[in-house]
Amino acid sequence: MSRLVITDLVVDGFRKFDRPHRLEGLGPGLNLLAAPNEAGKSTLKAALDAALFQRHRLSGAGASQYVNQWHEAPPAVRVAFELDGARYSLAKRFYKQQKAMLHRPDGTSVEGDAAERELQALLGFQAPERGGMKAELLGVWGLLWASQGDTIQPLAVSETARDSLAECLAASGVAAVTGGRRGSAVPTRVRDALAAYVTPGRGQPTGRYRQLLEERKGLEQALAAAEALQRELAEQTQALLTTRRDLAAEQRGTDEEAEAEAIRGLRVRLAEAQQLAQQIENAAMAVSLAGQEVKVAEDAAKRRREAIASLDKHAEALRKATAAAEAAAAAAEGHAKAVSAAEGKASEAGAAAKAAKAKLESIARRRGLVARQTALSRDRERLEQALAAARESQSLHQQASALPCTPAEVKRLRGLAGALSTASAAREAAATALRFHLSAEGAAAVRLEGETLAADAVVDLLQPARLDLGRLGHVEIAPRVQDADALERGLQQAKAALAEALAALGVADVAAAEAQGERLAGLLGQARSAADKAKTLVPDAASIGDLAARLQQAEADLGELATALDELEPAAADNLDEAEDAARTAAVVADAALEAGQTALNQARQERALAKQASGHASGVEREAQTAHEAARQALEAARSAAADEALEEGIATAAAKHRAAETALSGLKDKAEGLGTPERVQAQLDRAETARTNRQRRIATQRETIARLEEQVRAASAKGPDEALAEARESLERVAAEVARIERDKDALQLLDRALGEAAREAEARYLAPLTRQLRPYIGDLLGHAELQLNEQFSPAGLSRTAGPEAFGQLSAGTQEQLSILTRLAFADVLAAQDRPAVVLLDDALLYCDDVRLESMFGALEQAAERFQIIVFTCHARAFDGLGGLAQRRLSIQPAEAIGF
Amino acid sequence: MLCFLHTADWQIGRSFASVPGDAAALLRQARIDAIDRLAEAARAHACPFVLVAGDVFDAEGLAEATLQAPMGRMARARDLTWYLLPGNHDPDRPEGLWDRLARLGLPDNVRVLRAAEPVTLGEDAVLLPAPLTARDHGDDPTAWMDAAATPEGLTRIGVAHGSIRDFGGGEQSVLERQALAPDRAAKAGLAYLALGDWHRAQRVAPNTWYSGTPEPDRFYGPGEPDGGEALVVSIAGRNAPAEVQRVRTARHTWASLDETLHDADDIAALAARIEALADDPARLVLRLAMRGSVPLAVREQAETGLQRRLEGLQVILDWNDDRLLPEPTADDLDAIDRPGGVLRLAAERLQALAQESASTEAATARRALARLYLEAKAAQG
Repeated sequence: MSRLVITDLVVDGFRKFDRPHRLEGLGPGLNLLAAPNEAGKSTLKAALDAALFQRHRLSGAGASQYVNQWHEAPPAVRVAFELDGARYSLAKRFYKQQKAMLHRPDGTSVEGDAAERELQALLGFQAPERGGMKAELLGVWGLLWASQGDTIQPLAVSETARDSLAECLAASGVAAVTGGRRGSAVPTRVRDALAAYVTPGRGQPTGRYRQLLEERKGLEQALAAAEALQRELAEQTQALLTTRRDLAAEQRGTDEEAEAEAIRGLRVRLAEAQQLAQQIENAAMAVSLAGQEVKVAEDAAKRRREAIASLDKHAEALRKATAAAEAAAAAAEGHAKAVSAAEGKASEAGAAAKAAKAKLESIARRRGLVARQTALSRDRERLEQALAAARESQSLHQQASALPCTPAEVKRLRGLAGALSTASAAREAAATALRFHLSAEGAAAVRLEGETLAADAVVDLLQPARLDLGRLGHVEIAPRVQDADALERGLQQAKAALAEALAALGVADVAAAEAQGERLAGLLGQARSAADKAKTLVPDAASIGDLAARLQQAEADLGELATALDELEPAAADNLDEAEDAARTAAVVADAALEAGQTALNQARQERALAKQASGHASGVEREAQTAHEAARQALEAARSAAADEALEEGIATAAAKHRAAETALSGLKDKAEGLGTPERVQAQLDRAETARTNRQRRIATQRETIARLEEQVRAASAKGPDEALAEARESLERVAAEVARIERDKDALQLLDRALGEAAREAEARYLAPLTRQLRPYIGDLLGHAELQLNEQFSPAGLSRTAGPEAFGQLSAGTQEQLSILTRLAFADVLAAQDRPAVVLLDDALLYCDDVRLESMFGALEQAAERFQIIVFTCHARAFDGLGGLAQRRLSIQPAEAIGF
Repeated sequence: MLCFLHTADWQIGRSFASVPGDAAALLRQARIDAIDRLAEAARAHACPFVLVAGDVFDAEGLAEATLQAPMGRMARARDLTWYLLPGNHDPDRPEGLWDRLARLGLPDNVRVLRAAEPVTLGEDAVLLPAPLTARDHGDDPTAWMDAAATPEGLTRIGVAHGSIRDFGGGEQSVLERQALAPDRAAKAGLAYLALGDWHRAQRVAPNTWYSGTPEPDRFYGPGEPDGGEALVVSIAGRNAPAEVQRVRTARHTWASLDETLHDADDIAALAARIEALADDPARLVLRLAMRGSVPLAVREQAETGLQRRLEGLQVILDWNDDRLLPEPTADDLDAIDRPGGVLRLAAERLQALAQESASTEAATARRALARLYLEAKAAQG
């Protein structure tokens, strides 16, 4: 348990407390005051704060804020606390009648500034000489006491607070960290220095560094250019010297006189060579001509010989042709004979075939006629039948027409009968029916309208009637009938009509008419069937007359046929088929023979034609041979007359001799030419010599020009001082490169330093804050699961690192921020307490954002921590805290109290 | 009494562009100005003529203005006659710089010794020059002197450019090394042989000397002389020995230091030594290489103290502290930060990295550490 426990607090005239009030129930561990908003919790905190940390001599606005306007007495506060078990009591009065009194455990007391100083020493803080307490001087107390809203602000850890914490941490074995100015100044300086060399973002050269790099590039180019210039100069100088040397050599090495002389000599020789060449040409020509003459002579002799041979050949040919012609003629004759024979044979065969054919035709004709005859007979029969039927039908029709009782008439009759019947029935219906059943006596006595009646007579009465009953009297029957007359009339009319009709028809009654009608129908029926029969037999007959005519025709035709048949060759009519077969066979044979004969004839004709051709041809050949032979003979004769055979032979020898002579002359000239040389060769020599001279002269001129040009170039280039430029470029490049190297070394060192500082900062932080984060871990674990709180070097929470990743403090929810702030404060208190430094945590409405779950967890943390140091919690959420009943806590309350005594 | 000034290796046209800062122009100018000082020296010692034994120019392809500049200075010293010998940096070749100068027109008092033949020098002496041409192939260009006939009674003076055989060391030259016989003076009956090619005055024999360059142009080893002299040569009579006097003509002092530092005291001592090197720090061309393992504080002191100071004094400074390794002490680290502090942690990291000799970052880490120290100190202030 930490050293310090606040045990009592009384306020009087302090802000809203115009009467003395005490915060009742304070003790070690977790103290909880749950009171509504306006109860004065913050005032109590202010009072505690004022008592402990403000000078009693505080003046002006600082003190006046404590005053209660209704209370006359100035604000006063009394705090009792135990420090390591020793009890102290402190009382202060502000604003007016300022006083401070500290009662020590041993009973002594001290007043005023001395009391203040002792208090400061006890609690470990510093008060300012003047003015209100500053957070700076409060040091770590400022952290441990959190007011409304503090917990969701980032912790403002003052330097003194940091130092206190640092000292504690150092005492607990961790090396202290130098924070503050130097710690941050050096990295900044390093980065600034680096920024002079390279851009902060991409690390691109900048400033002097970049300048130098560009300069280096420029110098490299200048160097290349200077080297090129130097090379060029060297080349040009070399070329100049070479050309001068060549010129000198050129001029030295030539004897112009000798050269001219040589050329002249060559010219002379050329003329000679040309002349000789001409002579040779002529001689060659002569040789050629002589040679030709030899040839001519030889040809003539050859031709003579050929002509003689030719004549012999022609004679032979003639003999042969004659023989051939004779043979061909004979052959042609033979063939002509063969053709005649073949012709005879062919015509014989033709006749036979004809006869056979005629026979066949005759038979066929007969057949035809017979068939036709049969057909005609049949026709005639049919016609006859048809005619008969037609006539019958006609007669029947006539019979029928004699009967008046046509169906129509009958029908009329029936109608009349019907009408009668109807009228009768109507009368009967209307009539009164008298049915008599009379005895014999009665029958004798009774009279109807004077008429006797049958014993069982039935009488219909339409008219009144008198029935005499003999002795009995009479009855007057008056049927009530409407239109009795009409009915009666109708009946009579119907009767009359019927009778008339019957009479017209000549029948007694309807039945008779009907009978007649039937007969009529029967007759008609018969007539129809006869007509049908005739139609069937000869469907296309137009009338009976037509039928008769046709019949007549048929008769006539048959008669003609019979005549024709008779005219035909009488043949064994029963063996018609046999005869036909025989005739057919004979026809076939005859046809075959005919064909063969025809073929033979054609062939014979062809052969004859060929033979004739051949004969003609052979004659032709003979004639030609004759002509040729004659011509050859004549030609030879002519030639011989011009020159005899021997003369030609002589001519050859003469020509040959001439030729030899010409050749000898030519070879002599050629020998001469060899010594001199051909004109071409001499010309070539002359050309070479002249060309050489011209070229030399031209070369010299060119060299002079070149020398002049190069001299100018070399002088111009030299004037630029290439070696100097080169040396300058090279050395400048060296210098710049060295400076670049220096800068780069420097830059590398700065970069390495920057990195090292960064790493060191991180390491220091980790080391420094390790105990704190360790301390916090269990609290955080309870609250937020697996997460690590990250504190920055100001001890303020910077963020959380969870397994999922880091979260900056500002990004956490207000609730989480609040909890972390409180936990951090608890951890600070722990650190202090571990070093036996006084620590009391006061949270005034600090848990605003907690949900119930978190509240429980926070409470767990608070409870745990309260085992090591006193924690005082003010809250207005009484209910939330009510639920946490099982926790060990002191319930505080604000009670009226006695006045504060000094 | 024959008296002349022997100089060589003017290297007019060298650009000095690799010198850090803006000193190049100064150094170039100094070489031209050296001609004036040579003229003064010649006058002061009553020398009517000046022998320039080769490498008047640093290269052949120089701009016209560069060629003309020394001509102008020499022309101004009308009372003197200047004899220029083509060397290996400025050999005589057809259409080369000597042709160009000839075309541009040489001052009357300037003679260029282009041929290997005797040249009369006043009434008493004759010059035997061994000019270098582009065609030479390593033969001793002074060989001809032995058999060269000169009028009776005239003092023979040789002038040549190249390295003495069996001499060892020497600077690179543009052409093949021309090896000269060290005893040429004796063999050719020369009263004196004036040599060029070595940039510092060097006696080869009593009558054979290198004059060196009149204005130093490079760094030598720590503590070594830098050149910057000319020789006044007096020959009393025909067979008299040559008397040689060294005269300083340099404007700048070139010094090279390689120092091992241990602590701040060493820095102070070094600073004092440096200031003693030259009267006018602006005329000091200093190459300063430092080495050693020193606390960061000392390193910081070297950089902010010494380097800035020297730069402030306008010393032409080639500063190399790559081998000055920071060994942070506990005090250093404390100065950076409290134990456990962020800066301290960073410093410890860097220290660990710097000690990993196999790592490519070790050197960078060292520099980072030194820088951290600097920045921490600056932030504190």
